[in-house]
Amino acid sequence: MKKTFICLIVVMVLAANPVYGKETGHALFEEIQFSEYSTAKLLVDMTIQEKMKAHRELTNRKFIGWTIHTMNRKAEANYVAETIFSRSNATTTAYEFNYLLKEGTEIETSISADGNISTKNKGKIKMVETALDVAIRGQIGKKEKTARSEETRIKVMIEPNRKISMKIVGEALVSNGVGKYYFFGICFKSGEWEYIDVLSRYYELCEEVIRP
Amino acid sequence: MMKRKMWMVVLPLFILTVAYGGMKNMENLNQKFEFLTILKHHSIVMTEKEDQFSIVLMTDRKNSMYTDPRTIRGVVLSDQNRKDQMMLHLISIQLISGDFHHQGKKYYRYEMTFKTDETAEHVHSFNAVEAILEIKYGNGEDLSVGIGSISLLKAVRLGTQETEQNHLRITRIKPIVDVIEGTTTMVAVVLGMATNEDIMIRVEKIELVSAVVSVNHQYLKQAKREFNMEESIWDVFESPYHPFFEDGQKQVDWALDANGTVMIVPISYPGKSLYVYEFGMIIHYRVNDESYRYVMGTFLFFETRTNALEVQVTIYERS
Repeated sequence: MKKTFICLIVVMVLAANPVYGKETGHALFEEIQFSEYSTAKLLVDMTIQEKMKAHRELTNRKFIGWTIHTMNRKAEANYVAETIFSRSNATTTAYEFNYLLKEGTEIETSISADGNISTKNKGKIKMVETALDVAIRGQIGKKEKTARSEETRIKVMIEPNRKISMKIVGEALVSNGVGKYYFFGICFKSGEWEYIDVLSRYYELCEEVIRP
Repeated sequence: MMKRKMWMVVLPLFILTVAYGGMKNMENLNQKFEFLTILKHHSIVMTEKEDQFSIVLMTDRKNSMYTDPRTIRGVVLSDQNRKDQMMLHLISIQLISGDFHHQGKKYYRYEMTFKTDETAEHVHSFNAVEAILEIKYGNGEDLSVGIGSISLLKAVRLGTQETEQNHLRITRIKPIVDVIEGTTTMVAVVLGMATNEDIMIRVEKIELVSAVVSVNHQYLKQAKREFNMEESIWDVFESPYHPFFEDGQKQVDWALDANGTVMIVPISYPGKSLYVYEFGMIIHYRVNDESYRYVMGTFLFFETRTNALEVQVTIYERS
């Protein structure tokens, strides 16, 4: 009976965690691949045992504040980001549209968290609480901001039974780990975090044939 | 009685406004202002409909007279020798989010949006390798800042210029990026084109909307396989020799396949490596012995954090 009860609790906790619908755990990335020689893993690919092992590494208690342990620090990876746009033409006549992309001010970082660590949206970017961010950045290094604004402006013609899409691929650095928050020596929060710092973005426009 | 009361309110308000303006002006006297610009390679394609462009000017002071559009009487874009000049109409100056930090100092980012006087009845351009933005103020002060290179093309429309009928369409665009002399930059463009009708199109030349880089037609070739975006240039051209710094001027004559032709368009640099990541293109082609130009707008090919941004700090001392 006791075992059944524990199992039920685990299922409920897992169900309460955010589901991104993507296999990377990050809404910005459809696919993330480490090099074949790398042992790095994304949080979503880790087993519960691997995460538990990392939590056991968190031995130093704090009176007040966060204590963290890093599992992967700046592991190099290639990613396929979300498709910026995709237009299909299932009609019998061609049509054209003017496409305008105004790029933001900085190359972003994608953050995901599990357990009691929560994220909040700051514009397009997900953030963890400031104290935890400071602790994590202390271990994995600062992200350099590159403030700029760029523009792409092209006219795209879409022929019948064709699809035009624009996607982004690139390189990124993946860091992840676990953390615990103490208040007067008592652990109040614990969970896992993952930062993906984008290094580069390559833009690709591609026409494909679709079946009528 | 009512009039007298109104004056009692209006007059002190007027005096306060004038005094505040005077104080602000005095405050700015004998003060150093720092302006920062990113020296990038601007490639701007404008049409009759989309005829505005923006340049970001950064400054260490928020809300000074130098970023107040009401104090500006004119803006001129010129080359380094101030021989070629273009008058710009300032439309707006807006403080944009994301402060910029350089050598431990914080700079506020102001986006200056301009229009040109030129009409787009025919295709024409303005090019400057070391462009200067000269801002003239109502009180007689002038501020000149470098902005990098600029190639500004005013086209009739995006697409074919000589006729509204588009003979060709773009089916593929992607960059091939490599490291040249320590700079991560574009080495070639994978460019797919197809004919829209049952006509024969012969491509003669591909021109980049850029004041610094051009196409090396000598090495232009058809893509026979898929290329990765970070693929080594040696593998792309199947040769230990790379054509970055060659002029590469050559007449070409490529017949476009009705189902589409994918070309590798190599980029030629002017003797040194530069961080180039966006530009527009003009495809010169012939249909039945008639010449046409297809203008593709500015395309942002890639972005990277591995290159350091080249910035220019202009220290302006007000006297």
